Amino acid sequence: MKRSTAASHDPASNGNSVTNFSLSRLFQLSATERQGVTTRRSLRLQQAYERLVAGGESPSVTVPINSPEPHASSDGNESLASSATPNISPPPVKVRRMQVGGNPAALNNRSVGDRLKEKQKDLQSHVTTTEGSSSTAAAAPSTSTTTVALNSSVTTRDKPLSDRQRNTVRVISQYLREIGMTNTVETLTDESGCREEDPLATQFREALEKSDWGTIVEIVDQLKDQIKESSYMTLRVTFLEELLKTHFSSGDLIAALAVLQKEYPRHPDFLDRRKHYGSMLAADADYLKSNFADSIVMTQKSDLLDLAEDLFPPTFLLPKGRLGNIIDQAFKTQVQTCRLHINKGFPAHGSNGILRDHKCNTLHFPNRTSQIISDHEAEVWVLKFSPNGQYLASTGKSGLIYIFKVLNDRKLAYYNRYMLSDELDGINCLSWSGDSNFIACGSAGNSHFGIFLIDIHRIVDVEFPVQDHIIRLGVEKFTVADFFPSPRQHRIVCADQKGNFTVHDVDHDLSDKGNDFEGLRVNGLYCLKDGRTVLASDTLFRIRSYNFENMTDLTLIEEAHPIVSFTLDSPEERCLITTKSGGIRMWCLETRTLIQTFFGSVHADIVVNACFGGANEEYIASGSEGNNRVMIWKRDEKYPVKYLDGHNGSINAIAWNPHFKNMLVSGSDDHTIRVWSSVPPGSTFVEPVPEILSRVDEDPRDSPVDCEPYLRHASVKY
Amino acid sequence: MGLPFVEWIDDPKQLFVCAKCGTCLTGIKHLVSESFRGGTGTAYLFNHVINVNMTESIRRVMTTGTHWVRDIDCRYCNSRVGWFYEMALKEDQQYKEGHFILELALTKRIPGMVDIVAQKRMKSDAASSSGESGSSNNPSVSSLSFEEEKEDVTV
Repeated sequence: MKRSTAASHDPASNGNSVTNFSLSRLFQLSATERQGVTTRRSLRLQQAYERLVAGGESPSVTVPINSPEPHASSDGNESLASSATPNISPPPVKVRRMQVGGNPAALNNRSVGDRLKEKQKDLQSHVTTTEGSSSTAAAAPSTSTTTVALNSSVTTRDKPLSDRQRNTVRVISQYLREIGMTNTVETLTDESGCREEDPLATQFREALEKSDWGTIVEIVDQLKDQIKESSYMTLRVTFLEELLKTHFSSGDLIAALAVLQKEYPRHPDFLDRRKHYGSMLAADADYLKSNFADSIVMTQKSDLLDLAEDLFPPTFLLPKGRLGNIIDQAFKTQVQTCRLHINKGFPAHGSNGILRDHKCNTLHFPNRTSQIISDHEAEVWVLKFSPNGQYLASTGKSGLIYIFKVLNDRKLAYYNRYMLSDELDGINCLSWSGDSNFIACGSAGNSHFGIFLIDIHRIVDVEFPVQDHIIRLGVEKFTVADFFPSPRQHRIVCADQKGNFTVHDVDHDLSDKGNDFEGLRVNGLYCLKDGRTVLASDTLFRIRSYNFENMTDLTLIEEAHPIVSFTLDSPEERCLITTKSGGIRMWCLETRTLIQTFFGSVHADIVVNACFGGANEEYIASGSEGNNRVMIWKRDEKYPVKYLDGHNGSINAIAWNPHFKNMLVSGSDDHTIRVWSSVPPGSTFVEPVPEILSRVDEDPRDSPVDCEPYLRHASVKY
Repeated sequence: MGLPFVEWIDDPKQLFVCAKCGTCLTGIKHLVSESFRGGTGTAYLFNHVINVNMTESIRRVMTTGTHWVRDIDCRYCNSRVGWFYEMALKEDQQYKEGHFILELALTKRIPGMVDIVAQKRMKSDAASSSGESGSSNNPSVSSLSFEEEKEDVTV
């Protein structure tokens, strides 16, 4: 890359030193421009300066400006010719470094006098130059790097661009060209000395556009040394075949024959193909025309381009839109490392990771209590959202079941409640049916009261606990139950710790005719989406899968510690096990290996349930014994990313809303349920007051029997 | 304080459970000696008991000598079931150290259950060794445990 000379400016500076001094100060470039980055401002400055210089100087001075440049792009464009020299405004006595004395081609076009003056300046500048780096003004040495001209050997550059820098410049110039700033591209190419693409590559692209296969084959031949033998052969053959096809389609059989004979490689691998094409020669001309004129036979240009991009040396062809791709990849990595990233997709605001690493603040993450519900006057042990995310069922030590309706991502409203039996120690197992209409619950401990099925939409009188509409399965049997997730059927699996383990179809028959497995003490159940398999955890530290249709069973996971509870994520790939003294562990169900153990929570004596949640189910929430905090882990990190404080008793149950990803509900020993949500931006946060939702005034479902006069809470407006 | 988590002992023959709430305490495979007496009558010595809370160590004088013991409560219902020997001051009583006493009046016996995986192993062993004797054993084992359970369980 030849440079245009700056000799033109030297006479100017010599002639009108005073005026030019002040002028040059005016045109002094900013630091970045001095560093060689061309900006619009510097371009304009250059042009202004040029005009000034050209206007007041002798023609001999202007000649170098118009001298034909070896750089093709600056032909006939005066401003562009000088645009190759971004560092244009020297102070009068100091001389600019960059292009002086470096350009043998330009030398030919200047007068002897100019050349002499140039040499003089050269000597001066060599004395005054600092550290060998080219400088626009000695007062402010520029740090523009020197480049090794691609085709020229004479240079005063001291630091050639490294490969990495060069490739980056190429990508940047591609980006600039794609957004339409061609002037800048010219300047950039001139200064850095790196073309965006090899001229051969440009020729290649043009030839591909025009389907000029002959040229392409020549280009491929030129690159023969730079690519592997096999790639070379593949490319050559591909393009030769394209050439053949064009010949065939135009009926020019003689040319096709010539190609086959001379050009087609005689490698044994290609023998079959050669024969195939040779046989084509003997075919009917019209048949050939019709066959090959059909564009379906011709290979797609995009496929050819992809093939070329793969096989050519990597620096030859630049993939399209490379800078954009790189930025997108960087953003994706930032999103992955963002610890609290709870929104799917990219945020609409912000610099998308360009100016700063993307990092979600806690705005989208549940971080504040938005509601405290104290309807339960007893410890809350189980919380479960319905599959459609609209209802929350809660139960605990008192045997009362409360059902709340989800209003928005911050608030619940009372919906219904049930009282099962006075003799219960409490309810510790709750399961929603697939259509979100029924709940199955099982009693705690060793009092086997059976499984109660409740229709959540029926309103009952709480005075009479067990009524007709509550179906009861298995008197004196069953402590845990789970519905199959199918919304069409109501099949339920019930089990207990005395060896009973059956599946019932509630729609058809309630008697005990289901199949059962024997020899199991089941602690927890989970029905899979396929409608046939059930996972059960038992007292021998195992999780096994059972299929009631063909009565097969299989041990999936053998733990080293007693399993307190377990749950699966929605795609049923991972299993989260809360163990007694081994922490919370996550297993992969497919390979049956341990993926991750989550530290920070204590589980020794009481039953605490953990759950998956958040966008993509990437977060795990759990309570812990000993402290009253909700702990939230990111799925691939061992230590918690967030703690939620606020409860006054240890937390027994957690549920994450499947519909509103930023809503989390926790139930604890202090008789309350807390709803955690993300604080809306711009609002001041007010700590909510505990409310008893079932006693809100305008709720028509108020129980007519009030045992004691409770404080009437002010009606809640949503 | 939350729902207590209870474990089970894997014993195919007999299990000892709390009389009041039915929480599993131990199995007959952990039985060491049957010749003990407690405040309520006969008591058994076991070397491994689960689901119990222990009090602080108390120095008690018993018929066999002075011992340091801890009283044991069922973890679920907090009712007393026996005691635990921490230290024996006489040398010939030291075999009791680290062992548990369960008073029979405060516990119940229920039949154990053969685990499903163990059942399969028995079946496959039996099938590989001899045909008939093996297959006749297994239904009796499983049906026995089932029937006995039904008799034993009281509400």
